[in-house]
Amino acid sequence: MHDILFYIFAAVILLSVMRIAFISNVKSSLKSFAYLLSGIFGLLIITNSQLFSLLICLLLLMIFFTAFLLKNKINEYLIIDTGATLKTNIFPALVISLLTAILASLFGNTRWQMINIDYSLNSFTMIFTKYLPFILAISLLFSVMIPVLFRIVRLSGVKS
Amino acid sequence: METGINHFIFISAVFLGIGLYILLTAKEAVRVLIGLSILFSSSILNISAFSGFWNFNAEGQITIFLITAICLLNISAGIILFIKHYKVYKTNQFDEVSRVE
Repeated sequence: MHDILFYIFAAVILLSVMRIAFISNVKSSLKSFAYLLSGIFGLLIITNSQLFSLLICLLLLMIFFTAFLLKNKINEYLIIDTGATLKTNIFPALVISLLTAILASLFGNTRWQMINIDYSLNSFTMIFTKYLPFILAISLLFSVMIPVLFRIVRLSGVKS
Repeated sequence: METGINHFIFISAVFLGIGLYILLTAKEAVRVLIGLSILFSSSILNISAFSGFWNFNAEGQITIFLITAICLLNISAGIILFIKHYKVYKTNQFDEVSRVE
């Protein structure tokens, strides 16, 4: 079951990434980015990181609601060139595909120690362990950081 | 075919390559941010795969927490810079700036 799910989510991720890379329309790139996030959400569930998949799910919902509420502003900001033609950048594509091939072949062919995923242990059972102080510190950091970032973004918009 | 760690590594390597391509060839501000987040999510995917396959170690999860924080900081800094850029040049395309100047 997990194997089939892995192939489905991997296909979703690869298709949406290709769409972002090779389609000139910015709006459809943003739509594909949402599909991409849903694919990552699925793969994170398969690799037993439910807490982060939940975070990505929340992020997806936030993106959709923001896009829906700020539809007119986004339309004003995104200049869409309907007559844009696709320009393939051959040199970066060659260099990057070489890098990807080396990475995938080196690490993909390594004989890693194979241990099956133990689904009785997951992110939620991690909370009440010796790592609780770290998690509390990180969540406090997040709770301070995110409002400050929102404040900075708002101020930078108002000043000029 | 049973999925192993190698499948996840392959997917994240391809993901990283295409993310780099998007980041290097982007002309719009939005596409740069998308490329940046793709790069970070490829690393998150890789770390979570290793963390899940090796008997679920909590250190991997904490690393993912930290990478997510760095990713959020980068993206918010990028949004601030691009808002400033849009206010000055009235465009979100980088190649048009050289024409304006």
